[in-house]
Amino acid sequence: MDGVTVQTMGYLLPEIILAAAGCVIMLVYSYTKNRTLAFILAIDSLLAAMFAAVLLLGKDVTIIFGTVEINTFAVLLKIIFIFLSILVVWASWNFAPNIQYAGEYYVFILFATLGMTLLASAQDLLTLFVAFELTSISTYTLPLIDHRNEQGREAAVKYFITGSFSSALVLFGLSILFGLTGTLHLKSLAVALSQYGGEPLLFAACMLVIAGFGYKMTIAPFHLWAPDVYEGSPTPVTAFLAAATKKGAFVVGFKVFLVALVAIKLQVSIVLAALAVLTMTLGNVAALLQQDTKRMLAYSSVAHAGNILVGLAVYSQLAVAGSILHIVAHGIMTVGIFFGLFFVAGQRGGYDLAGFAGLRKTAPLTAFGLLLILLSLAGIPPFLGFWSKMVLVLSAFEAGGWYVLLALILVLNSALSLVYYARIARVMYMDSEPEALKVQEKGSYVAVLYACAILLTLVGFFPDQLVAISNEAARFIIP
Amino acid sequence: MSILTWMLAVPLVGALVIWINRKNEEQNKYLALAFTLAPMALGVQAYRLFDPQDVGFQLGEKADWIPSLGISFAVGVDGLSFPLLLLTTLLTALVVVFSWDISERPSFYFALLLILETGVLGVFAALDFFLFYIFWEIVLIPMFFLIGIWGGPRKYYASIKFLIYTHVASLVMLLAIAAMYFKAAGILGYYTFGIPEITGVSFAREFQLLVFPALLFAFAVKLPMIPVHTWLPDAHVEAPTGGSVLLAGILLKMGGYGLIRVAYLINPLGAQAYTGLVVILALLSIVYGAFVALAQDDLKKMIAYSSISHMGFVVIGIASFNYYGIKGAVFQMVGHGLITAILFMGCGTIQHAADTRLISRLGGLYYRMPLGMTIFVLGFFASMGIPGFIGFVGEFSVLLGVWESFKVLIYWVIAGIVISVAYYLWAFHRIAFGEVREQLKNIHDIKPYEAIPLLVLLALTIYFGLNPNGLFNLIEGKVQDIFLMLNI
Repeated sequence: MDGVTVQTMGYLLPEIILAAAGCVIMLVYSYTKNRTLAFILAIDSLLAAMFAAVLLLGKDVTIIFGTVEINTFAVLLKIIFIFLSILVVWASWNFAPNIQYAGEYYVFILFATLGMTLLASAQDLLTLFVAFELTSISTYTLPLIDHRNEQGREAAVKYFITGSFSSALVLFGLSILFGLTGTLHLKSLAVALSQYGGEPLLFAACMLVIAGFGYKMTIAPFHLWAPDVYEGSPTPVTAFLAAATKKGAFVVGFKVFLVALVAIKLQVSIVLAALAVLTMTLGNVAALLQQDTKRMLAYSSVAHAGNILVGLAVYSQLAVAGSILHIVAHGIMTVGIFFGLFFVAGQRGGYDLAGFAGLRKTAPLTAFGLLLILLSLAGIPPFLGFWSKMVLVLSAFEAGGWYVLLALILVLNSALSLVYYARIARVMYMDSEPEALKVQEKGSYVAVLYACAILLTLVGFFPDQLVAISNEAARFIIP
Repeated sequence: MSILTWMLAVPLVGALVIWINRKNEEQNKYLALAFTLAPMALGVQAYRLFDPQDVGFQLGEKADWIPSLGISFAVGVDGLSFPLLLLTTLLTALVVVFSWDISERPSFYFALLLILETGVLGVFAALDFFLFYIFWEIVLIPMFFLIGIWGGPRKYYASIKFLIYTHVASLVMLLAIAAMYFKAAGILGYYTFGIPEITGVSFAREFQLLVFPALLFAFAVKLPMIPVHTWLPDAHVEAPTGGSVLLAGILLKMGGYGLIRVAYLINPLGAQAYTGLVVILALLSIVYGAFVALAQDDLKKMIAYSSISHMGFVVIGIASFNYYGIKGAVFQMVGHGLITAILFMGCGTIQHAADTRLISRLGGLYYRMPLGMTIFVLGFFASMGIPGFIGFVGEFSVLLGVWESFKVLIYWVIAGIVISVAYYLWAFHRIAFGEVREQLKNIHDIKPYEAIPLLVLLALTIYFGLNPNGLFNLIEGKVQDIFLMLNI
């Protein structure tokens, strides 16, 4: 159905709630400067948006002249993004009192989430781009939201400049696609581009788009901003960037590479596979060399982006399901681990690995929670991180041929990543720090850490529902 | 819930209980003992229910777990896995007794032992490949911590080396499993990870030629076989005694079990094609392992290399593809499990009493530790393959199999046995007799909690050595079945 009717607004309820809430919090906070009120409004609006999104499960409609589609894929991703934002906002309860622009912090997160939920539904290039830009611009100022953090300024400038530049590349690439076909709609593009099979201009557009979106996805060699920005930002912001906005870029990747560019899917697949290998390897090798845990996890984030890219490269339904699973798993793992690190760094005065020694004695529950998330990141069963990697490996195997090699590289990289995850675990459990005192393990950071660890374990034991719905969602990308 | 599921659940519950109760270290020792005796009791009950004539999988159950991928929670045992399952319950209980006086973080130690027990029991009981893989990986984490926290001077290096080395091997196994999963789905018409279902499918020879080497690599690392054995000396030497006993006693058997269950039974044509390679590697393990053991000064390292040598017997037994070889291989796995436990525990008592494992620093121990040394030398005899002990039965059966299939190569195997006599007797001669060194003048004999497990193991070793039918009856039906399946 087209046009703006009450019914269409019903389908866009999550977005409307988020937009309205953002505006309301901005106004309320600028008048009252009440952080608690801003927090309550933010969390409640996110929960309401989540509820509205869950109500949309099972529908399959196209609204607003075909630019927005509500189907299982869109709704599942909406729920995932809103959920990750809930985790970040919840964890920021102890963070917000320290920053001057607390209200703006929540508003930016809400608007970024709004952009991501719109992204999940977008069906044409313009909506996709606008939603993507909304997400990006909302997050550009987040790195310097904490005025005490000096590194944040450098991080914000780096982020803004590379982000804007990548958006320009994307716009250029997308405009070429429009120029060739005269349509912006994804499915029409897919049909129209099939006659341009060997057109060099199409490849140029494709490369530009890969480069541009690759920035946000932190794919090598476009990932160079990520370790610096992740390290320089305040850790809650890092968690949000790595968990949420990066996944938003992947959703765009699903739509542009898998739906629109299906005409040249073989070439795209080869390029993506090569980039995936490069990203995983670079990310893991660089992480091995780090002594600073925050930077180590930043590089590990890059490596996991490579994992998700494998699913895009394999181009099958199971592969997309695997990528969606890894988006869920990695999102939860990232939020959990970064807030866990934030808590420990607050206690030990820094992110240096040596500072984690003896954590099992001073903060046993935190150490255990971190251990569970580290095992999940490494892909050790039975945690959720294992299942997502597993589906990716299976899908690569199913595709056969050279993709089996891709599966092997994914698996070897997984083993490589275990080395540095095990190193953190070793320092926490095997090294001793006799002078350290037991700490109070309370506050929103550890609460979210425990929640993520428990979630990863529980869903890891019973992943069937999640796997089934990811399969269902993948049907809408690759029919 | 079937009895097997209970056997898997009880140690895990025990670990949780011990963790909750972690302040009461004394209590936790008794709790740990209770939670390891319970699976043993369940094992005895299972033994009563087990029918050796039935070559199928028994005592198990199957429940849907992730239907969208064809994964189910399926457990069951047959003549191949059941003895290993019982061995696991026995060894873990004995290790708990042996480690009774552990001073550093005992609660964590016992909890890790219990989680390890669940993992290994799960590997032997799993009838779904995914479940198999999950339990296989679960085993790595407790062992990583056991080596890394309670280990010797190079524990960090050894624990990481163990973890990464065996993890890579598991991942290669996973790829092979994925390949078999998809191939089987094409033939069966539906997706399943079930081991009985996939075993029932006969894969094309070309496919087997690709999958078998991958599986061989994976299990060769675990067994271990030369040349992918290098993690074992480090891991064994640096691990605490209890860890070494379980590592050698049951973790290595996971490799042997996997080799038979996954590599040989599902890919017999591939196995046949690669027999040459397997035999060469097995003989290398037997002979080279024995020679390196001969050169060791560290007693524990010597025993570690002797483990490599003895697992070579298992491999060449199965590679012979005939009835006696297979029978010997299966028997040897159980036998070596018992014997190596005696050896490592004995080594642990020496280290405990004399504070050193180096043969050059020991001497005259017999005069100070008569009981300990007696048990130790009987363990050595058992490992050498002296008749009357369980080691002889397995090794002799393997020799029969090797003669039948490989004729002249039997001399290499015999050479391995002869060299084992050399290193064991020479080592014992140096540590037990001769002059008592100054610093060893006041050492004590073995403690009761060390003696009990040793005597239990020795008794079993002698009992089954003199009367192997008890064990033979258990495995006979399955061995015949394996022989038939391999020689299709």
